[in-house]
Amino acid sequence: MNVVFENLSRSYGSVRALDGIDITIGPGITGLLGPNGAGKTTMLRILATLLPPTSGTARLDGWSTSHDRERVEIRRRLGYLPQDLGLYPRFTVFEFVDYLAMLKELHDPRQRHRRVREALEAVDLQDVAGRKIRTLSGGIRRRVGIAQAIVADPQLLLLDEPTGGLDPEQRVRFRQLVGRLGEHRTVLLSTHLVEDVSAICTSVVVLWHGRVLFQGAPAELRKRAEGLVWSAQEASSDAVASWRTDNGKLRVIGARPGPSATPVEPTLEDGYLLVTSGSPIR
Amino acid sequence: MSVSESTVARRSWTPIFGPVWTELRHLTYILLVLGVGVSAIVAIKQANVAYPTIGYDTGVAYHEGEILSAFLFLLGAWLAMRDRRSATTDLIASSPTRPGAVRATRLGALAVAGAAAFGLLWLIGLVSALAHGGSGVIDWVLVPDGMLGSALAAWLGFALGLIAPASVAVLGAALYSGGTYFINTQYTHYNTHIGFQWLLPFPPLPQWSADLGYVPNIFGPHLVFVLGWLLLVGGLIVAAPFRRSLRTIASRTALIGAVTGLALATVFGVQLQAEANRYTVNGPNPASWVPDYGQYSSGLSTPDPLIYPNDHRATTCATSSALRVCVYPVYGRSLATSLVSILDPEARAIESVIGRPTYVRMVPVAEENCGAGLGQAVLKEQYSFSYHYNLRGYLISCALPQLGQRRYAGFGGLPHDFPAQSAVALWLVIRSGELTPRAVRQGVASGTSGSCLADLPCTPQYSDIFGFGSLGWTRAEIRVGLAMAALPPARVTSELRELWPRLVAGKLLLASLPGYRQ
Ligand SMILES: Nc1ncnc2c1ncn2[C@@H]1O[C@H](COP(=O)(O)OP(=O)(O)OP(=O)(O)O)[C@@H](O)[C@H]1O
Ligand SMILES: [Mg+2]
Repeated sequence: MNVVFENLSRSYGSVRALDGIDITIGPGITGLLGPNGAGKTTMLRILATLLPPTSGTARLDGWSTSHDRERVEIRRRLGYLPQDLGLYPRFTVFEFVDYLAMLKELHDPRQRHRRVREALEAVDLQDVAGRKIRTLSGGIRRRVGIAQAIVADPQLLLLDEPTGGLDPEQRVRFRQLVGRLGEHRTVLLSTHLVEDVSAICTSVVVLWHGRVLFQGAPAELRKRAEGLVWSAQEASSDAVASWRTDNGKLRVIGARPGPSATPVEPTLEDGYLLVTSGSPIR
Repeated sequence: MSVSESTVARRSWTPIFGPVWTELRHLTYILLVLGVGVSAIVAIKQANVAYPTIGYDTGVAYHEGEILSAFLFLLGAWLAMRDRRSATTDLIASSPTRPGAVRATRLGALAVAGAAAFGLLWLIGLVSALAHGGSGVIDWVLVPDGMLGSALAAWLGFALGLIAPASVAVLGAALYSGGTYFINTQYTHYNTHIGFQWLLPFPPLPQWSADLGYVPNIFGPHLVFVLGWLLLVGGLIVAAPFRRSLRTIASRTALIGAVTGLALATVFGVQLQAEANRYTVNGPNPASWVPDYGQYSSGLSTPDPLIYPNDHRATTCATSSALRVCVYPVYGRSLATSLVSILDPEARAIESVIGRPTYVRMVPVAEENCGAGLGQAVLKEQYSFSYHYNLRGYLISCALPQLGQRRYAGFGGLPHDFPAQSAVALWLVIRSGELTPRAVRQGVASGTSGSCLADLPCTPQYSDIFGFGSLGWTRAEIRVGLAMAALPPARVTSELRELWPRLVAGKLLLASLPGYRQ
């Protein structure tokens, strides 16, 4: 399914959280990158039909989030993990996911229970299915959130910082899960972890102050930094970013800091930092 | 996209029951337990009466539905706030189930929980009645009525919880419960002749009679009235999130429900209001009887009070040489026997009086009354029998009708209009053994100040005899009464026989009484 944003803007008072977004996102896994306050959550909430845009439209295939009946059609195909995830503390894990599955119109109890069990297994929670949510750790709650997002087999999966709080093993597991889901669905995940994006995303959108600075394949974003990443003894003052690495040298992004600097293979993070630094592109 | 549609049936006829059941299991049960517990304890304490009946005990349980309501109100508010407090609003709102439908399932769970809680409270009342040895018929109408009232409290709480924070909800529960309690008690005690109190979800129970049931029987219109409120509140709660899309069938249905509810509540509210205290009369000649209701509040007494017609249903009797007392069978012979033993001394004291009551029967709704010279007196059927004190002087007041009217005249009556009757009454009280001359003299001697000086005796028991509080005897009346008591009874009786017509007509002077010149 295709997600289409047309001239989408959203303001909170005088703050323009989204400013004329015009992109189309197709099937596959799209990573949403951007600094704090860039508008990632705002974008996902608009698509999740929770927030009306100030102007412009957001659509999933033919259905617009601004139309009441079409909104329901979008919701029927939606799995959403909010950034500020809340759960019912007095429910057990199974009951909570089961309750949301009911609201997601899985009415037949037997099939629904099977679905819930599958979703819990997918995030490795089958052993805590009977535990009350208030007794769970933050990372496990996050996984309950992922389980409820995938339980009704959504066509559009919106994940707002899904890997925050997950341990490395679960992050890997999560990547496998999302990778599998993304084969036939549209997955949009916002994150600050560029590694997540390079590991699983088929495309990247970089948001900055409510605008799209980049849209394309991760490799393309990395390419932006080609010839602009250096290993050097010292940084020049006009470098986009520089930090000392474990080999004792500085990794410098920007113009060649000096004749002794040697070019380094850029990473996705270099590309992201370069794009959001504003200078070379804008 | 057909993966999901093909493996899972997305639509079936059971979309409501699953969520309702889940909600039911997760209600804040501590509130329900506390609600039923506290109201049951209060009810059981009040139900502890000497002659228990099922009607009374279940009625008390119903009455405590008000306390239960406070907890149900909170229960509803808590459920309404749950999404907000647990930050799950987004998860729920992004599901395809309409907000109105989600609310409807929650209202359903609240209604079931409220009804069950009330049912339990009512059952506790029933068990308590049976455990006390109560008998009689069950007034089933209290069950649906209480269940609807309980659901309404929970739904109102839910409505408030949707828009207000927890502190306001707690205040709301207190105001709801306290407000209904206030109106309930205010209107029961002082203004029963208007129908406003019937508009409460748990109205003060009208007079209950083992024979007639509730009089007036408000429960027909009251059921529909509360149902109307439920439809109104529920319809608005369900329809509110559809504001922007009133074209959907669900929101239209909810709105139609709300409008229907408003209409029902209005029509039946007006009817309840008009119901006031319309008594039903069972008996041979209902048309001849007018309830003497409302005299206390108006301060007027009925000059010729009518006696509730004999319905021949007070068939459990006990007798003494001077008196026969009959009560409704539900209360058992022990009540009749105990009433005879209370009334017999007075009955014997007034044996020589023409037209004195020899037959006392229980009536469902009227006040105590004996009319003039009818030879019978009525006893009002009461839930909680504490006849012992407030029947003192009753038969004597029957013998001396104008004096008896003071009982009804209350504070507005004139205490000393009939001093001769007062003095004779004192003599009769002493003859019946209720008071000894010594006790009266001690009362006069010790009473040095305040209203008790002029109106002795004024100890609590005796103040009931001929009036309220300070209405008693004057010093002159006491002097003559004591003097009569000192004379041989036979002499006083024979002298009084000639004076009696003028005495009961209120035309005899204190100076004409046998003991005056001593
Ligand atoms: N409810 C709100 N009221 C006012 N301003 C808001 C509100 N929500 C977001 N904003 C503002 O909108 C902008 C975008 O916020 P948003 O939450 O979409 O950013 P984000 O990219 O998700 O950031 P983060 O990475 O920190 O989650 C920010 O400037 C934020 O302060
Ligand atoms: Mg965010």
